[in-house]
Amino acid sequence: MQLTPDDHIWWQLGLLKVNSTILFTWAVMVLLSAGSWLVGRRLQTGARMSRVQHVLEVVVHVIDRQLDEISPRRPKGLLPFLGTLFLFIAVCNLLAVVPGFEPPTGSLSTTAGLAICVFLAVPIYGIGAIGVKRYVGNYLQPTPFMLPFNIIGEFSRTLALSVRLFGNVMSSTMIGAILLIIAPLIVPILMQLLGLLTGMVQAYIFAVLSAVYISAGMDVATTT
Amino acid sequence: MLIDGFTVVAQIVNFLILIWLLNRFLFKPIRGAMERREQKMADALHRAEQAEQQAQASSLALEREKTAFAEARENLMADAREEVDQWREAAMERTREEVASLRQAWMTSISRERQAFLDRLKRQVARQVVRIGEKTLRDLSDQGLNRQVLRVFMEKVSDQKDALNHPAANQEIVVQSGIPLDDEDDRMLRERLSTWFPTAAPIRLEAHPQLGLGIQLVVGDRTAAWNLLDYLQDLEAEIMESLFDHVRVNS
Repeated sequence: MQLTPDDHIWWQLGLLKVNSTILFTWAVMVLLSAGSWLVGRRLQTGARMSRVQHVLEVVVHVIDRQLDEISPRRPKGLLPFLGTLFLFIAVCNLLAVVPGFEPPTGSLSTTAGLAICVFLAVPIYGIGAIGVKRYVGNYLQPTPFMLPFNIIGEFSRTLALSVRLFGNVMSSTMIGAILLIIAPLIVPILMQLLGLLTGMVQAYIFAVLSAVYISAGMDVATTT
Repeated sequence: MLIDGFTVVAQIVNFLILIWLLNRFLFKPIRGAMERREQKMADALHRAEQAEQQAQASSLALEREKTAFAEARENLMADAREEVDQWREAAMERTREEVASLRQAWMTSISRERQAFLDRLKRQVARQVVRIGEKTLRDLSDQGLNRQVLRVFMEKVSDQKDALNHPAANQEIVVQSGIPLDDEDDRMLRERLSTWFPTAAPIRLEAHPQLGLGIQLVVGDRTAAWNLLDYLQDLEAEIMESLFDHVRVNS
């Protein structure tokens, strides 16, 4: 049994390889980009608009509002970053119900990569908002003795972020596969539906936690 | 091994590319469309507010114009009423004056007619009195009265004989009598005239009833006469003069 789609290699040349994680990530990227391009070609600015545009506007508006609530003084570029994070994870998890599709979020490499992006985004947005000195001073709060613990906290929460998403998606996939063997009728469908719900929840949690970490990197510094 | 280093790097790169793609094709266009729609709605609201303000301003202006029109109409009506009152007063005054003038003219006419009527009446009364007197005298006249008339006539001719003597030379003397003369009167008349006018041609006597109670002598272009009618005419003239003198004093 494969615990991660990384093991399913489609093409390899030396260190370069295309496994299921990368392949299905590209598929999701193509799906999102093409869908966005198709809708974005005929955007209506009047009162009448297409249903797809309406849905996308609702999604973007909800994400924007959530970010406003979490970080009222957020920088301008935070929406594309966190929005893409949420949409990518959500679409990957939703497509898990498609037979043959292996969600990239079920790979620890993917979740680790996303967590590393968040890990890097925190100091980037924090320094961009308040400067290097004040951001670094944030790690000396409340006392300089807390510096090691704060650094460990940064790493541990990044690790938790990646493992949480990976564990949930992987376990959901595994449970589905096991139930398919034990009780092949009806039960796997219910579990798949439950998997859709947990997948959306995990996407939301990942995005919100990322927003909180980035916002905390700016807010704490501004209060010191 | 659950984690693969190459895959991690590849997913980071893929994720960054996806961020750029979605930002390029999704977030920017959608947010732009939303912002343009919000701007349109804001513009529409702004235009609606402006239109409402303009409508309110127009309404106020119309209200002011309406009030001004009402005031102007009221003023015009007041002016018109005043003009009508003035015209009516003037017309009434003119009418009163015309009526007074007409009344005065009418009263004057009535007074004149009344005066004329009174004058005619007085004149007729006077004439009638004179005629009645004349008729009374004529009806009451007799031989004695005729002879007395003849005597008075003779005295009058005697008084004028010197003036008549020269025109009577070689002229026919005509005696016209309105009273009947008997033979004795005729003879006496001829004798006296022959005595007074010896150079005159023959004397001719004519009956002339139109003279009434009177007699006249005609020599050429001279005349001597006595006639009751002359007295009555003098009397009538005196009566008229006294009557109209009385009227003139009264008026």
